[in-house]
Amino acid sequence: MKRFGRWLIPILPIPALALLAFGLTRDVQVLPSAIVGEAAPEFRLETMAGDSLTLAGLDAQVVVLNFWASWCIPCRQEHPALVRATEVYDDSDVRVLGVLYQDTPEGAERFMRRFGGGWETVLDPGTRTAIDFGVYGVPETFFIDADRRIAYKHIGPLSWEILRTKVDSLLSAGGA
Amino acid sequence: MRQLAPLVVLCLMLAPESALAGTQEAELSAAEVDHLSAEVAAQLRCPVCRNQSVLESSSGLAREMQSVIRDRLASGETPEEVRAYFVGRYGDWILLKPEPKGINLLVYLLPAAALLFGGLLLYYRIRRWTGATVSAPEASPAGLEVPDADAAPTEGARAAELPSPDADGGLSEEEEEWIRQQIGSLG
Amino acid sequence: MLSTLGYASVIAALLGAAITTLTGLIGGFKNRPVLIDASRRATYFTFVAMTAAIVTMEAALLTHDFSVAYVSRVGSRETPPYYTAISLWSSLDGSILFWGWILSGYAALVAFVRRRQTDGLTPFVLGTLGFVGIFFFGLLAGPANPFGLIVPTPENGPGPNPLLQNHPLMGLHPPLLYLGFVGLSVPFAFAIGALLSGNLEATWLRDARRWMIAAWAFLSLGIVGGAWWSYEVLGWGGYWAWDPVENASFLPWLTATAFLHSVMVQERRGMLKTWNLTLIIGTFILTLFGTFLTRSGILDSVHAFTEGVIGPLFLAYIALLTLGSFLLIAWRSDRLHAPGTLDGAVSRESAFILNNLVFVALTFTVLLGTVFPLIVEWARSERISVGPPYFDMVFTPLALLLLFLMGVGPALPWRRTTAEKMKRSFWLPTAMGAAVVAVIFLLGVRRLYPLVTFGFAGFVLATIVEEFRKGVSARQRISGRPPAFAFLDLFTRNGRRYGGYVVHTGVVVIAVGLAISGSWKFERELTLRQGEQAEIGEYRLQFDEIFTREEPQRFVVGGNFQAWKGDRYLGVQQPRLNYYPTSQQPIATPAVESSLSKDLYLTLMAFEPQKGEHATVRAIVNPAVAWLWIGGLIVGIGALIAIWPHGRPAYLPELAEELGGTAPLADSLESAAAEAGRREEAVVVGGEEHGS
Repeated sequence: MKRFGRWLIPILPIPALALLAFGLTRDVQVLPSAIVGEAAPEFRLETMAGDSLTLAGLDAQVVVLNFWASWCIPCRQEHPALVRATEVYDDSDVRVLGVLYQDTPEGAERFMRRFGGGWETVLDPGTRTAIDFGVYGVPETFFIDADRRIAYKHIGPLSWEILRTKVDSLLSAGGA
Repeated sequence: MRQLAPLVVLCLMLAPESALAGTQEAELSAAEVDHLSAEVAAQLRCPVCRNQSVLESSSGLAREMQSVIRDRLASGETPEEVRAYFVGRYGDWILLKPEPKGINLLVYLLPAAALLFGGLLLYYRIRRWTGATVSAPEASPAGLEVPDADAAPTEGARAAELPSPDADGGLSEEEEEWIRQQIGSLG
Repeated sequence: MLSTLGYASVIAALLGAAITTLTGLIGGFKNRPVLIDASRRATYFTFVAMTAAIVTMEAALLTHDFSVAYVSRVGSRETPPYYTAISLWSSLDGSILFWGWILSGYAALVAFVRRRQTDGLTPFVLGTLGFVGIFFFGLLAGPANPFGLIVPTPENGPGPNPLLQNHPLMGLHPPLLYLGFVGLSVPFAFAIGALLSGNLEATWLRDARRWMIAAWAFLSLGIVGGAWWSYEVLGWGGYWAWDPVENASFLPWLTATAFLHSVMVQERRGMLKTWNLTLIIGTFILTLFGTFLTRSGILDSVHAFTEGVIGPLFLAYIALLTLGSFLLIAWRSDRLHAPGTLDGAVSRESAFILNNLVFVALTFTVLLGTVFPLIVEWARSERISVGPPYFDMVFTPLALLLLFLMGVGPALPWRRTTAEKMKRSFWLPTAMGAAVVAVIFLLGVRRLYPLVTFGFAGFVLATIVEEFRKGVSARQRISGRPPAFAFLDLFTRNGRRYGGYVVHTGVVVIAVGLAISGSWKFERELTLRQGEQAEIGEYRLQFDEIFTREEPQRFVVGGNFQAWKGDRYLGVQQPRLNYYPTSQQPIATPAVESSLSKDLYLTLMAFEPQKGEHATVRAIVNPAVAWLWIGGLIVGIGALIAIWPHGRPAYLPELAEELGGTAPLADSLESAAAEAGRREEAVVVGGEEHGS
């Protein structure tokens, strides 16, 4: 027993080493969201034009809620995908709505003038809606289905492919 | 937190906090809200700066989160409810101290278990090393020791302590014995 | 040109380390003087080569030679020379270069100090250090090569990470930490060397212990220095965040401290041989683990340098060393067996063993908390966090237990004690602790932890004072010197023991500082218009204006705040925000007005950008933080006393004195001591212990 037991000691660190090896296989930057699959938090926010807007008041099947800011560089990268979405999809099917994150309306207007795109962006004073949605930073995009549940969340810049895949899957689920 | 109550050690650890839990009444003064919101903010992880609490971070989001905490407390929510709100949005990730439930219990129980296990192991080891029974301090001194009761010097010196405190040279037993003899022959 | 020169130096060092390993191990096993000699020379050669590499890198940095890969990544023409010079450790490959250089320096020092030592251990020790070196030099030659050639040569670079060029303190704690971390590989090499050579008697342990104290001292200073940097630079108002990078330095410190106590049990009783080996090896592996943790980017951390291939390599290397070391222990377990005996269950030996239990439990706890998110993710695919509230909760009781044991250990005699003697040596410290608690309680303190901390602090300080008092009176009786000289004699004659007590004193000061600053820190966020005043505690603050300043590498926005403490004017405080071109978020520089009792800590949070009409500042009153730095300094001084080489130990008469000596006895004892010294010297031939 004693003879044999001493060779057991070197085996002890192996689980710890395996744990570290596992650590190498994952990406720390990807963070969880507790809110996917839940009902989307209701909000009443003002658009840049000054109108009041609520989530319940939107009648499109799918709402693409995009948190963005004019100072955010990756937001420029994803902007064309959103522009394209407003062009391709019918307003009654898909509604793209921007939520301004820690930014001024002036900055947002400049951004829209420069990069195009005419969809509505609502202001989020106090970042309350962003916190309600559990936003870590911008850009983050939430895909909200017909039942006003959050079906998907995308962290980082969107591409047209990702956007289309997610929207289409929601549209077909809703239509069926 | 209540599950852990039986564990004396953990109870002790939690004591400073549980004092706060009872103070929640309907109306809070501004100072109380400040105090409580700082408590809650210190328990939440700032989403943008990763390894700081919401309280410590100077980032915009963390500062807005602080005001959300304050508003919710002022409107009568308990600190637990405020925490639950953030967990609902950001997941357990946002808690700097994991909820003691499920697998998370391990992080609370294992240290205590390790201490307990190590303590028991040592107890039996020391028992073995001291020979059969753990001797109480009164255990009769024998052998090398200078008889202390009458021969003890008055100045409070520990008469029986062996020479060579943490000796720089690290004297061997024989050397200690030899010195002892030298001293003995002089006396 | 510099690129080639630097790379050639690294390759030369790699070669040197490989030769050291081969000649050292073969020479050691076969006992060939020629090979043993060669291993020493190869060690010197490696150090020269690494020095050349470091000098080359510094030359490249300071002359802005952007054709060198590392310079092109961390250098910029706008960065001031000081920060350019220290940007050597601001990124992954540079810090590995620095690490490798220190390692080669330690190895050369070991080779030099032991050049006349004939115990057969040296070649194994150098061989082991060479083997450790091969990995780091190999990284430098391959995946982490800082000397890569960039074609075409860029005009300029981005400069170092803004956080790391924001404050001059960045030049202080990283080198200390590296000296500590890398220094821990020397005791490791002695442990492995002893296992390999099979000579597991006391000589290796004596050397390992001395090197351990040196590395421990650097590590302690590095940890305190890092806390200071965090406090003065990061602007969050605290000094210790339980960030993985901080835990990485704290874990080996804990096990090293445990070793420094348990080694005394082995020296006196021949027990715990395997345990002490495990502690040394564990300490070294924890340094590697910490480096891996913070460099591989597997955990979120303040400065994780994420880099692809180095993580897996590091892990493989840790696995190799861990398994190899433990296999060695298993292989030699026959020679490590020592029948343990204790004369009494209540003795200093037991106190040290208990202290080891608590240190190891604390190490386990900090380690568990650090990697726990990883465990949960593995088991559950969920992300959780384990942060300061958890660590504070588990750390405080264990640390208090250690504080208590710090008073118990010195008050207990070796071997055994009696109830009568216990009473004699414990009543004063206990009374002292109780008195402190009573006074603090009457002053209105009702919190549990501070009360306990103060009580234990009083208890420990009383035992330390008592130890010094006894030492001084014993020395006085022997030498007849006045008390002040007798006091100094304690340090020169038994530095390890009394230096140890000085270290303990420093730890007590730190514990009290932690208890006070942790319990009575308070803060307010103030938004002030120009000329407006506000009060926080006994401080008064007036906002005057916002100023801006353009510096070559950054744009600075600061606020001028006049501050008063009571009626005393403290001058203009300037908390700032620094905007670096490479960073989206501004880096805050707090304004800290320090005093012994409390600090006023200001961080600029926001300001009105057009005219600077108002500014928001986070004002923190942080009591007793200065004591942490003072305590750290005391710890450093104590460690220095403990390792300072001194002559023949003359504590024997002193001890005999304690056994009840008279004047004529003392004379005879002097000669007894002299004889003992001679005998002892005969045991350690040519050890550096008696060098001066």
